[in-house]
Amino acid sequence: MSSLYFFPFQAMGTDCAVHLYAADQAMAEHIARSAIAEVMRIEQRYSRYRPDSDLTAINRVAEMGGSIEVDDETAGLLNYALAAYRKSEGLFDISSGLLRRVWNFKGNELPDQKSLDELLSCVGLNKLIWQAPSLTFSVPGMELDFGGLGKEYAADRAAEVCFANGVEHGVIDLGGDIHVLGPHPDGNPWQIGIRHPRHPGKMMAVASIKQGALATSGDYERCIEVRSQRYSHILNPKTGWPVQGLSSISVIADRCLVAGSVSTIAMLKGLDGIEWLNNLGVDHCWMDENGRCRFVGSNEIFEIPSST
Amino acid sequence: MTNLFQTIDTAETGSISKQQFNQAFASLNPPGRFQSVGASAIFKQLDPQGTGSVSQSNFVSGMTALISSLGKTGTVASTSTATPPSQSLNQSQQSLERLGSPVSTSNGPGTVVNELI
Repeated sequence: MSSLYFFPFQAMGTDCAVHLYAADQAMAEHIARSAIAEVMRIEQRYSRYRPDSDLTAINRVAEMGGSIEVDDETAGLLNYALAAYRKSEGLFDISSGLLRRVWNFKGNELPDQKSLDELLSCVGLNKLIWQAPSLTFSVPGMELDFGGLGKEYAADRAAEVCFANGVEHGVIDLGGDIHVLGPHPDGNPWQIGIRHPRHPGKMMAVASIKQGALATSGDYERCIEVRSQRYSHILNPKTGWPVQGLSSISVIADRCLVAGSVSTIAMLKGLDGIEWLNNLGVDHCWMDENGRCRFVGSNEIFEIPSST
Repeated sequence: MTNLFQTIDTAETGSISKQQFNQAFASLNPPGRFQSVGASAIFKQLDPQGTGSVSQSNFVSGMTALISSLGKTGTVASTSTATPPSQSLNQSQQSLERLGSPVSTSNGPGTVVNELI
């Protein structure tokens, strides 16, 4: 007979939690500690805020131009990022973080086009020469950011650690990036709330998931309003300007990394992301900037919350 | 533990707000195992109802339980038996690349289940 245990923690700048069923408290703690350690390990390696991270070492080379050799895990992340870049026809681009330098989402001014154009000359994964394990930055002044992948990848890894230690029923939640190991022991799915993009504290939907992953991209985390026009923090790496059209997209996939990158790509495509998602065949829900909302996928995965 | 509570409750109100707790957490330099959990997550455990404050009795009992929980030693569950990171990433890449291909669609494209507004 197993019981449900809950272990909250903080990582990657957000509230996180491990929920798992285990035979006893001690076993649950040991497994959760390993899962949390794996999340911390990934944060340590790929945080752009840490001067001792592997990503910072890569970006020191990127700034000057040149080559660096990376290990298998970093190579795997680069391969995945390039696959997402191809899947999105260049919209999902881990070199676009440079654009943050001119977009101040705490102010109320727009950047000038000249500054954006200068940065755009250093954006684009097509400027990299990648022959594993060697990564070459042909243009100096570039910068990579795994921020669009790291949390989702860490959720998958934490789930894999739990699974390797015998956990069959549990959820990893890294600030809304969710990996469900398996249903409750009675077979019932986990009920996962999806926040409303325009009403903090309210839910736009509840997803019932027995196994797999859920990730959400939204325009609500950081944005500015200038002359009655809303500008979200999700920037098109080809133009340097925020995308418009959709305010929130949640995607269910087998892995959180996939769910996260697919939801981000759909946001980057604006309203074209609706048809793109339909053609992928993934369960998803979206809300556009006018509040129009649709749930697409298997029966009863998404529900309107009974009380928000 | 009562002494710690009184140190944080500088206004002697008999309860600690989240802000007071966060300030104390930052200034008192707690052990690493507490820092890895973080002030926000610990306060959430002490104040599960989300009232925004913790009484002395709840603080003492909650912190005692937390110290016991975090301080236990024993064999840590293994990460070595988990899928290697590079293999995990390769599986994710394959999963991404399969999406949209004719064999990947479990539901068929665009099955609208529900619509709001």
